[in-house]
Amino acid sequence: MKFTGPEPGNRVIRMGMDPMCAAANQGKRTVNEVYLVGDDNALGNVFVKVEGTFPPTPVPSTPVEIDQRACIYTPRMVGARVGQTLRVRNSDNWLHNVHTDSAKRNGINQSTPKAGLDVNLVLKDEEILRIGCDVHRWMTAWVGIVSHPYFAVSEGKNGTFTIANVPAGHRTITAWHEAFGALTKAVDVKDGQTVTVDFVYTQKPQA
Amino acid sequence: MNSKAFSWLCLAGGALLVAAACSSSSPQTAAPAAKPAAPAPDFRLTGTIKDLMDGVVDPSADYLWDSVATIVTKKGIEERRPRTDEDWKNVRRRAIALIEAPNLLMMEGRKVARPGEKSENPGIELGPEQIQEILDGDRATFIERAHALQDAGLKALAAIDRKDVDGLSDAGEAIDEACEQCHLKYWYPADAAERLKAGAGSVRKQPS
Repeated sequence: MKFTGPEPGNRVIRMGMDPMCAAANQGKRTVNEVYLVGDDNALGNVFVKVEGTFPPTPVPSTPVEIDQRACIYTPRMVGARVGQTLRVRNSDNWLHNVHTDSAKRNGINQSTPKAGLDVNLVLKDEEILRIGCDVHRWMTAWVGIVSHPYFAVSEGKNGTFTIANVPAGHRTITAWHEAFGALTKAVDVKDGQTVTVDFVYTQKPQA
Repeated sequence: MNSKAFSWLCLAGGALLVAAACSSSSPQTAAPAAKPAAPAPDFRLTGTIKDLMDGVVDPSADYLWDSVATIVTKKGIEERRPRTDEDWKNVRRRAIALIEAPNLLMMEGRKVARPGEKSENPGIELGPEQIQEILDGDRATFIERAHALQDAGLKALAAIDRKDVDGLSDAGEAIDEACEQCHLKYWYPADAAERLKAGAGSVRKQPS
């Protein structure tokens, strides 16, 4: 996963509106990490999925976890299955909330007033779900929700991703990045073979 | 001049004096000469609130927000801020537009959107008719919100006139807050209700 052109750069977050966040990030230039850039314009935090419907497979019983820590969501981009639980934990001992922007049935808005509190959400529909915090509006995480297990998130260092055991056939792969948007590619997947798909973002990031 | 005409003049003069005495707190001050009433300003409302948001408020706020930022790349750190007099002049132009735009928004008769325009995200945000209804039902609150945006814009203007980068950045947060509070009232109020339910809507802190 790569992009061409100059590196867009990430904004340093001004946390002055909340002294607790400012103190937790003292001495650091904490950025709003929209672009997770690795070597040679490699792009991380891109959600990649195979399009289509597939025979049912068991949904993992372990939750997908996101942490509210030092007024940042970590990780910023995760993938999850429909039916799987998304767990958001507050590791800060001050108020956050978990507010999803769902166009489907994955909506939740719940406060996490102190450290150790979890919000658990069973994901109901496929979509790319944004998670925010109304107290600290820079806080953002994304969940790519799909009904099958054929998805991945690209690595930050080299932009690679691996989707295992994709059923053979002519497949469409979609890549989605929060600022660069979506790209699709068609590939022929054969039994027992590895197929390499390269995505390169060339357009300007969306505003 | 005949005596009849003279007595009418006296009567009229006396009436004027009585009127001046009743209406003025300073009886020594002579009443100003009556001027013909100025005609009401012939405003020609063309754009909608949506048009003004799209054409004036949003680009002006974006310009101010983008004028101060620290951008980190693998190559290093870019401190984005107005540096030259021309930079500050450009930022000031946008601040003035942002401060004056609410006056246009508040004008009586200004419609939210053109007839037939629909919500782009039904179910998440209100449609123009619904927004219009809320606005018409309580103009005082709308004016209060518009003034809040002006106040935030004035903070930015003061910072610009001091060439105060940090002040401009803080004003940016105040502008963001003013925008959001108005949007929560008129554009996506369900969101505000949810936030209050979650206990977060009432705890937002002001920029430090």
